[in-house]
Amino acid sequence: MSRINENFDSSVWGKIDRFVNGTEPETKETANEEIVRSRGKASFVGIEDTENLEFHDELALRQKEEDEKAIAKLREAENRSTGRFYKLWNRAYNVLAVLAALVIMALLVATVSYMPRFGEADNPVNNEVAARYIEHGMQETGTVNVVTGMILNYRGFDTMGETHVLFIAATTVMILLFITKKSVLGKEYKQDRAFEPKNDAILQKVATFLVPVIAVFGIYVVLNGHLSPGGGFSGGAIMGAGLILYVSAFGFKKTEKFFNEHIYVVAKVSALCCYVCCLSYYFYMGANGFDNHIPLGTPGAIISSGLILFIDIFVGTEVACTMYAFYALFRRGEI
Amino acid sequence: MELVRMILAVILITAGIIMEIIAVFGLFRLDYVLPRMHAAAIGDTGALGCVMLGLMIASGFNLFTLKLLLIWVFLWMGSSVTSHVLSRMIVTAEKEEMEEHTEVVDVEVDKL
Repeated sequence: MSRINENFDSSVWGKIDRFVNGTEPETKETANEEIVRSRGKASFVGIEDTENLEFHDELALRQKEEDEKAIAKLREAENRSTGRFYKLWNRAYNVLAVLAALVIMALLVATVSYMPRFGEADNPVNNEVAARYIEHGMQETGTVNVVTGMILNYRGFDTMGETHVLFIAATTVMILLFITKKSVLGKEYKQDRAFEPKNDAILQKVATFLVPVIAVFGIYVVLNGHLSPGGGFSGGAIMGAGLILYVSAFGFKKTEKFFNEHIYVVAKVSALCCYVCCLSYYFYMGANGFDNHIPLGTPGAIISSGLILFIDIFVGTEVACTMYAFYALFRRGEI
Repeated sequence: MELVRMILAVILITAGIIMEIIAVFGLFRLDYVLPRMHAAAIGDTGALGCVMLGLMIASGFNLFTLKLLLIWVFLWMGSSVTSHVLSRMIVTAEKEEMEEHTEVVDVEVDKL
């Protein structure tokens, strides 16, 4: 949080600011302050004061002048918008927009006609990379699901970066929206809370049925990421959605009993640390060259296929925490 | 028997598609939130139900049918409850604006 200097106008940043925003004339508030200062009064007392009545007159006069100026500006703009050139330009703009869209469409269609036919054997998509993934993926990564093996092993660095992006995004939203002082929460904040549907009977009944199902399904998707379609990202998103549904149905008080800020911080940071440890172990030892006492992936056996399962769990925790944190921060400024 | 089943499925799916088209038309034609939700509800419930029923009849009695049934149940629950919460929000938040656009009949709503 930066504060504005007292001599902000003369500083370099102030000059740049003025250059960007245009030379800003004195606004209404500063003008009013000037009047107050010229009358030798620092504070504003009330309308009952006789002196302040004059002061109010002066204010009203200024207000009127400004209003007249604004009306004149509006009229000028109106004249401009009904001018002949403006109408012509508007029509030409519409025609040009349609023409540009048509040209782009024709170009795209022409490009599609040059592409090879879908599903041919000698297409450039069917090269040695995909063949290697399918032939040796099971041996090298240990996963039955080739996609998970590719994401978490062959492209491990990429996925690690994505998880860090999630972490940084949640941290940035926290920096921007986290409200620490209760005094900052003004009247508007309280009014905003009043509009929320509290203790909605229909929503609560549906949530009591849906939330357990969603949670179980999310855990299933995370734990079976190496055996069937799914994995950390999709399972974590499902679990986060279940948490959000629980919060919107039952409120933050009940949610804080099992998921508060402390648990959020511990889960998120430890998941990221464990993930990085697992992945660096992979990179150090080589994917299939180490003895980890966990067998290669066999369909139906959850504890198989090396460290992929644990990496999936950590990624799922990370994603679920991030989704819940976004929701909670945008809704009330806390987790 | 197979032919009758297929014809029934095609009729149901076509009805669903027609309902969806009506829903999209209403969504673009109407101007306020509540009438728009009313139009979209046709697509959320009627069209979805018809298409799912048609697909279930077409696929026969197997595991895939059970999955379709689950999708049906969850989407019906989700969309109807979402529109309930949304309309309740509108009633509490912007009452004056609502009275401008639609006719409001007073009913006891404090027991909701």
